Amino acid sequence: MAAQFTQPSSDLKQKVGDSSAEENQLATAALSDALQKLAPESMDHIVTDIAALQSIEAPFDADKLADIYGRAHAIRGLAGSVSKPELSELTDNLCRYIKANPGLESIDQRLIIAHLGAISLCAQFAQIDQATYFPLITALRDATANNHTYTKQ
Amino acid sequence: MAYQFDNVRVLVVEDNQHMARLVRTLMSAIGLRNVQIARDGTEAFDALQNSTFDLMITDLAMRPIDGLEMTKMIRNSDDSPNPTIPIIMMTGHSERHLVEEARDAGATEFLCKPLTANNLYQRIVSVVEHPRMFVRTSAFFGPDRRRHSEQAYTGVERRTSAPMATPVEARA
Repeated sequence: MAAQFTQPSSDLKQKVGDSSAEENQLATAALSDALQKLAPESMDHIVTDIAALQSIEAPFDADKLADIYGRAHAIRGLAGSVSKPELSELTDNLCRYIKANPGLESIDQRLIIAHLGAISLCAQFAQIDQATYFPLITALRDATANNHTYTKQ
Repeated sequence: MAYQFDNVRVLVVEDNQHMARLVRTLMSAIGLRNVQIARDGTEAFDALQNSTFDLMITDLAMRPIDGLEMTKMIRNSDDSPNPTIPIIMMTGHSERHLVEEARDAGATEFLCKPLTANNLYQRIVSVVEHPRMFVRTSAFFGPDRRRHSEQAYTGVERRTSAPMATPVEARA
C-alpha cells in the first residue's frame, strides 16, 4: 500500500486566531503563576503519598507492590513541578524496578525497602542539594540497573 | 492579540485526580475553560463518541487502557469518531523508546512531566500553528512521523513499501 498523505480538516486555527510573541509570553507567565499557586496543594498530595508509602511494611506482596507503584507514580508526576527532583528521581527508579519485575520472585525486597527509606529520608528535608542526594540515587540506580529493561509502562 | 480559546473543547485523560485538576487549572489560566476530564482510555473513547473535542491531552500510564492503546484506538478503530484529533501525550518518562512508542501509536506531541509552563504552552502552540499532515500506510495511521521534510535529500526513499503519494513540497 502506498503511503497516502492527507491534511486533516481542523478549524482549530480558525477558532483561536493569532497570538503575538508578547501575548505568548504573557500566556506562559500565566501558566507559570498557576503552577506556582498549585505547588502547595501538590506538595500536600506528595506528603500524603509518602506517609502512605511509609506505612507499607515488608514483606511486600503483589497488592502492596501495586500500591507502592501507584503512589510512587503519583509522586513522580508531581515532584518535579514542586522543585523536588530528588523525589522525582527516586520514585522514577522505584517505578521502573517494580515494572521491570512483574513476578514477586524476581523482586528483591531489600531494594524496595532501600527505595522507601531513601524517599522517606529525602522527604524530611525542605531542600536538598544535588551533591547530597545524587550518590544515593546513583547507588539505587546501580543496584537496580540489571532490571531496567521494561519497554512499556 | 492573544489566542481566543473560548470555543475550543479539550479532553484531558488522566487517572490521577490531582494531576487532572492541575492540568485543568493550567488550561484555565490561558483561557481554555471548556475542559472535560476522563479517567482512563475507555472513558475518553466514550467521551469522544458523545461530544466533539478539538484537542486531547492524555497521560501515558493509565489502567486498564493506557494512553498508547487509547491513541491507537482513536486513530484506527472503525467506530472512532475523530481519528485525526490532535493528541498531546504526557509522561513522566522521556526515554527514546517511549517517545517512539507514543509516536508510533499516533500521538501528535509528546510532553514530559514535570509539566512546565513553557513546555505545555509550546505544545499547544505547535498543535494550533503547525497541524500535522496525516499518513496512512498498511501498518500505520497517524501524524506524519517525519517531522522535517528534507527538501535537499536526493537519495533513495527509505519508505520502500510505501512510496510518497504527494510531493514533498506539499508537506512542507
